[in-house]
Amino acid sequence: MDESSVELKNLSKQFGAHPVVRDVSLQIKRGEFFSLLGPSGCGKTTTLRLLAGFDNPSSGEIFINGSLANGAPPYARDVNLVFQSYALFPHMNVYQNVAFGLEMKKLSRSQIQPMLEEVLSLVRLTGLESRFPKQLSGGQQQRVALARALVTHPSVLLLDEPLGALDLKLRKEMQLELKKLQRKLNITFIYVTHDQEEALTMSDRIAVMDHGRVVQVGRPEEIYEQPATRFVADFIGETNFIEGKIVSCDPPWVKVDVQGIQMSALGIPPYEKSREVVIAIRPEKIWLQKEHSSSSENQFTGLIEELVYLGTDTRYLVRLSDELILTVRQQNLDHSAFRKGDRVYLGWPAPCAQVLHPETEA
Amino acid sequence: MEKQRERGQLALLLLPSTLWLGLFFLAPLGIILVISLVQRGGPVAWQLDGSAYVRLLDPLHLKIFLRSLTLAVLTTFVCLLVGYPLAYYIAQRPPRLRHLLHFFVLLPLWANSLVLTYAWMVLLRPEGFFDSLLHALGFAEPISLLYTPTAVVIGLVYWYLPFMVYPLYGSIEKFDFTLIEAAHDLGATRFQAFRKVLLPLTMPGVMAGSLLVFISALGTFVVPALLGGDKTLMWGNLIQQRFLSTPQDWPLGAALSLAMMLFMSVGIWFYFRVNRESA
Amino acid sequence: MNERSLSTTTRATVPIHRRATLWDRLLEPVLGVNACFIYVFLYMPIVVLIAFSFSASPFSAVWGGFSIDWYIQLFQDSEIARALRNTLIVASFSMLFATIIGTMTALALSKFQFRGRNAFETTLNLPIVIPDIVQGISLLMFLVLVVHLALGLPTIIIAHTVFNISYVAVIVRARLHGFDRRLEEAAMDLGATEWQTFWKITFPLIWPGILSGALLAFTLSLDEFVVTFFVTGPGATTLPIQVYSMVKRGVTPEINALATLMLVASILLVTLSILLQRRRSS
Repeated sequence: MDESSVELKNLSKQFGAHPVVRDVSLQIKRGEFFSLLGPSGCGKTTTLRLLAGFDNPSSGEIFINGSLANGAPPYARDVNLVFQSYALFPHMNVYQNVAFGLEMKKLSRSQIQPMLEEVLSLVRLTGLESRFPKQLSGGQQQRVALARALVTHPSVLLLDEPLGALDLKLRKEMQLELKKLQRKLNITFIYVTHDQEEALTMSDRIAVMDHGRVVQVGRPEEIYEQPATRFVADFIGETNFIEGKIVSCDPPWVKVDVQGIQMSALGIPPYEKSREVVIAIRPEKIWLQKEHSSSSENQFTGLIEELVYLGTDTRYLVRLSDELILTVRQQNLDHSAFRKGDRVYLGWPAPCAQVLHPETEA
Repeated sequence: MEKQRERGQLALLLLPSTLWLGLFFLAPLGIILVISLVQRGGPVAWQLDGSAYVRLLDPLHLKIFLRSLTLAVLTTFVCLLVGYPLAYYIAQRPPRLRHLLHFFVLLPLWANSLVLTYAWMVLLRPEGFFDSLLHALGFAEPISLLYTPTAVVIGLVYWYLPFMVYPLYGSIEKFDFTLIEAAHDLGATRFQAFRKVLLPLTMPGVMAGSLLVFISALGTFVVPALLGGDKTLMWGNLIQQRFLSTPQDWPLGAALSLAMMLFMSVGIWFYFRVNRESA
Repeated sequence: MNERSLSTTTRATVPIHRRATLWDRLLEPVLGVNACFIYVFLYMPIVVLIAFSFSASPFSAVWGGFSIDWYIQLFQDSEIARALRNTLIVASFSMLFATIIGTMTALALSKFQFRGRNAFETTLNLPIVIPDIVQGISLLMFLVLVVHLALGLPTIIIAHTVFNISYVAVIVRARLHGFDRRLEEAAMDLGATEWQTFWKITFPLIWPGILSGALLAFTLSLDEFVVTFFVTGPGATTLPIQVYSMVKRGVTPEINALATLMLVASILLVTLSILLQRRRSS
């Protein structure tokens, strides 16, 4: 309890009859970089707004630094939000924008000055104090929004897709910068994004949300390597879904029959025989070769139907049977690439394939 | 408790306007309704009675209603007839000139309308501007348009033309003129392109402008009072006379007021119906 | 196939119609003439009136020589000076009341959803739609029969404030429509209370809207005649009422001068407000 910076207990929010956030419970540790990841409309932004205090939860509890925050107005909460649109005050210059929170705390000008200098140099905006938001580039506006939220030293910083409006190159730079900043200041960051790559590179932990619910919480590699549901596997990265029936179960291994082809995959028991399941396997985990490999267990033959050259790697569509086509990604290490129509051997280490319940989304 | 605080704020913000409008706008309208339902005499006797509505249908009054409707429709029609080509013309000018021309259509709206009507009196009266101009040009016959229905229509068109051009210009300016080019490309003549493409797409502007002009012209009081004289009374003048001139008949005046608002509501209702259908 | 033969076949299969009918060629000039005619129609009365006000023969199309006698007469008229004073008093007070009340209403409507909102909005817009003669008559009846308030400047101010509230609310709401609510949220998030948020963020940003609402209210009140006509009382003559009674008594050269001054004043006022707005927006 003492360790968690923010705790949500069975949080729900409805707008009219429409549930937006359903029964969300999370514990976010002090100094953690925590991401809420999901498609638009999954409830992640609403969760953030509940935390900031702009909306009140329909039920459930919000604890910030161990004390109940339900009903407290936004200005009484020790959390600051970086808005997606930045929400910079257009009639104030950079200095006035950043100083706003400090003035609200009734700090004197002489107290404000050093804090302002510090935060502006932190986000590399020194010298732009007298500019107005309209006169700044997108990246600079973003930094002002960040400085404005950081200058009051909140214990939690909420970020609502703060990089969404920037172009790709700037976004990559800012991702690294934000991460560095967070380490340096040791402030809890709660970061909302629909960009899986962003969440994977920056976060200590990720909560994947769908239709108002949290479907999985975990470290980036857990989310990526062991997706709990078909939704998570599908939303994060590219995945082959193979439908089949269980033949036998030898924990933790499950043998599955896919149109006459037998595969083994990792699964958490109990799985009863002939139950329908889905196997998820990432395209880059599948190996392709021209020769039969004597050692591997999960080994099949297929025909290259289509290939797409992507620079660092090539994506192949390999047909295993009439109704089974797998996507395979291979790094372009040498020139011995395969051609369309080639007959190939393919397979994967069994731990890389994961058995999912086919109806987890219902 | 959050809800309660919000409700308090809301009540505080809306209290002054609710009070002001309730007391000095809605309550007076209620009084008019009450007056229309009581007996005439001295100038009102507080006795429930529907006879004001019977007096409403007196042939003399019906004649004035008919005149008001005719003049209002005529005004709307003239405004549309000259206003549409004008709005189209303005919308086709280069941007700077366009803004200037638009501004000069709207400018008279801001001048005191009473003063502008007076200016028309000066122009139209016997021995006035037109009369003496014609005389100086050698026409012996004196003309006087003042105190005729024509003068009233001139005055009404003058007052309400900006009301027509404003929404028309709004919809024509938004119109994508490449659609006209597309219509020409597909073989439409200019007239066909106008009828099949431009007119249907600028219909909201036509409707809004016509409604504004019609409603305003129907409720007018000053123009017929100054330019129409005693022979071209309109609905508004009738209301004023029944309240303030002898023979006073407040219940009838109140009934006349309500009937006028009823007519306008029908116009507005029709407008929204057509708009909803086309949307 | 070479390029040349390709172009000839194209030309052969798509014959060019020149369809410039008489109607097509006449359209543009007809539109131009129509426009000219309308601008003459709109500005002739104004120009003639101004010319007459400086003419020694104040009503004839034949120029009678330059004269400022009518203006001198006008400025010596104490009735008109009083009417001007009354008009400014009414316009100032109704502007003040309507701007405050209208802005509060607009804020409430843009911020809150509540039951009866549609009915409230309809009522709020009614004073713009309902004919001024009905507004004037009904308020007069209410004042005379129910509250027994003496007619005079206060009753005119009350009446003008009614419709001005509606206009100010419309204009401020339009301004609030483009206002980003997240700015208020950002301020509250940074520790500003609702009161501080309003004065530091909302008010400075919607101020131009409030200002143009106030200007409109002032102008409308200056020019208002019909409603005033009904609720005015002894000693509470405003300029439009003064003009009306002078016109009713008979057309005099003095009115030409007064009318000219009123026209020039309103045109200056509008131009000023437009310039103000343009400077603000740029």
